[in-house]
Amino acid sequence: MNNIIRLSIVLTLITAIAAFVLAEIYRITKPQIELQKKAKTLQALQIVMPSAKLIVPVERKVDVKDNKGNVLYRKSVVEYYKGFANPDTTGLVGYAFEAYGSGYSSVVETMVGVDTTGKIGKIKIISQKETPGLGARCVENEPFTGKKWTTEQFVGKGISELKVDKDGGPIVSITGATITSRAVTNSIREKLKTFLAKIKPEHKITAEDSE
Amino acid sequence: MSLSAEFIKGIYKENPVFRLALGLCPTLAVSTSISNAIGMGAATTFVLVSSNTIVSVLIFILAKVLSEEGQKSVNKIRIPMFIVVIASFVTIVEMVMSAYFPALSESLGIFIPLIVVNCIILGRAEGFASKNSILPSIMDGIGMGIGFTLALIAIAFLRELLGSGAILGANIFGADYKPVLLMILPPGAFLVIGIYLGALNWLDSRKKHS
Amino acid sequence: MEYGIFQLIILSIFINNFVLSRFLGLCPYMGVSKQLDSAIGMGMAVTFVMTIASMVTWLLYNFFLAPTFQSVFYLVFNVPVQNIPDLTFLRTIVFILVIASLVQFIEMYIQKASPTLYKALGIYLPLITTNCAILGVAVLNIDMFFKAGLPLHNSFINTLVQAFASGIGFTLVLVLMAGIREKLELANVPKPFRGLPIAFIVAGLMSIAFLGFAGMNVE
Repeated sequence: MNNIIRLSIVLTLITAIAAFVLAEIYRITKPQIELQKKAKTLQALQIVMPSAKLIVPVERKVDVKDNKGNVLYRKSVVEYYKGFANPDTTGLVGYAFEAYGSGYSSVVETMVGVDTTGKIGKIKIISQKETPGLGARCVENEPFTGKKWTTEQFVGKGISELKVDKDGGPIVSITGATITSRAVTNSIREKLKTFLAKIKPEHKITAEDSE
Repeated sequence: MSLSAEFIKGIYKENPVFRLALGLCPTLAVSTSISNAIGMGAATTFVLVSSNTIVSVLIFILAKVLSEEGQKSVNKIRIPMFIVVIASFVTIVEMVMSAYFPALSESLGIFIPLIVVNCIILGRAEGFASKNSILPSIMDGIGMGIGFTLALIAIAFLRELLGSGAILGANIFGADYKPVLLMILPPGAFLVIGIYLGALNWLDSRKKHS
Repeated sequence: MEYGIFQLIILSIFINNFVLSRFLGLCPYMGVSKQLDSAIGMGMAVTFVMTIASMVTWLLYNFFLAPTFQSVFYLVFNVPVQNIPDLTFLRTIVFILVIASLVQFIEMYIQKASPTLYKALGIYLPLITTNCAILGVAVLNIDMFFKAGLPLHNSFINTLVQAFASGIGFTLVLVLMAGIREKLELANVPKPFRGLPIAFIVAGLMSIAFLGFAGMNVE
């Protein structure tokens, strides 16, 4: 019995030292990890709104509830972004939001730029873990020739045009990767719908206008 | 063995992947591109060298501090001790990678935490570092780590070249190259390593005859 | 992503097969697949450990490591919700220690309960600890099913199903491989390729066959 106690103490001591060292390193690296996430979002925003000199997030406070429905506290959630040509928030050039679609083997996250008339601008796929060579090609952004999938083909499309060819729309899907193509396209369409409903009161664009 | 011999053996004669058949899971999964191979190799080498060092030091200290009887009983928990040490360094790698190399962290994905069960690391800790002093253990770690990295790069070289038409991301064959998709999908990994192993065996048999 | 149970089973056994698609569990796959009986025994042992380890790690992650409403810090120690410590960085250490302990207990149990099985599995029993399939499935469960806010029982059932089905998938390919390798012993394989090299090439061919499942529409 004595032996077991002695062994447990040695093991616990080593584990405790390890946990302490790790907690310290966690404390040091955590801000950098958050920074990386923000940098990634910022980079995507700059790609989908190239003419914006200032990008401002529009946030909303949401209730955080526990399992019983009691409100515990409120936290801010980014709903979409506004892009301005001038640093003094004049000259609105467009908007951006993030869309999430369930792809073949991962959630595909897309940053979507929207112009002031409610039509899609540029898009950038932020993260995906689809099949290499097939669904993973959704990130390709060559100029649109009409024959092959590219993220550039979304520019200028309105809500009614956000359907893949297999569903009767104009979006050319990836050969052999219908699921991924659909995931991206449909997630953009659905998010655009909710986005337009959100900004309708201030900006007088509606879903019908953008079609 | 001299220090340089400890180092060299990990590269060819006792290459962990091609000779000892250790560390197969990350080797096949991560060798889709040379940059992934280098990243994984570097991470694994760091854990290998660090854990070899700490294990060697730990055993040394325990040998000095404990009685004969104490040492025997600690011997029973040596594997969990080594695992805690290895897992700690792997966690450090996880955190540092997501902080400073996020793209690599995303490509390597689940195989970063899986470094902890890479049989190379526990194998060397148990088989070498616990029985040798610090400097040889460090050299052994570096040698094995580099051997592992070279094996990864060798496999990734073929897979990236034929499967994506590129080396380190730079297109070699031009835009019209139709890549052999199979190479970067799972079957490609198995086939490439099978061919390499067969080739090595053939080289060995030729050396024996000459 | 939301999965139905049946979809998850097909996904784990065939489409995302642990060995042939995800590259998890390769060391025992190459080492133990020479004979049919040891393959079956190893497969079942691994499936068992995968399932139990997944359950225990899930519990620890949800109730202890992650800053959720189920955290013991919130339920038992009444720490305010914003301040629940985020111990997820300890995941790797905690998980692997759980697995090591589990394998140790199972080893002791099998030694007492069935000495023949214990002898048959030999050194491969303690090596289950370093089988990347076990730690792999535990981490995969978290990555796929842990979502703060998702009903607990959903994520637990998904975890259980994925762990068990993945183990079955592992056993399946292990048994298939053993069957093939037994026949391969009698075939006329070129000398440099005998043993491990031809086994990998066979695995490659099996992997191509399993790629066919990738086209299956599980919706």
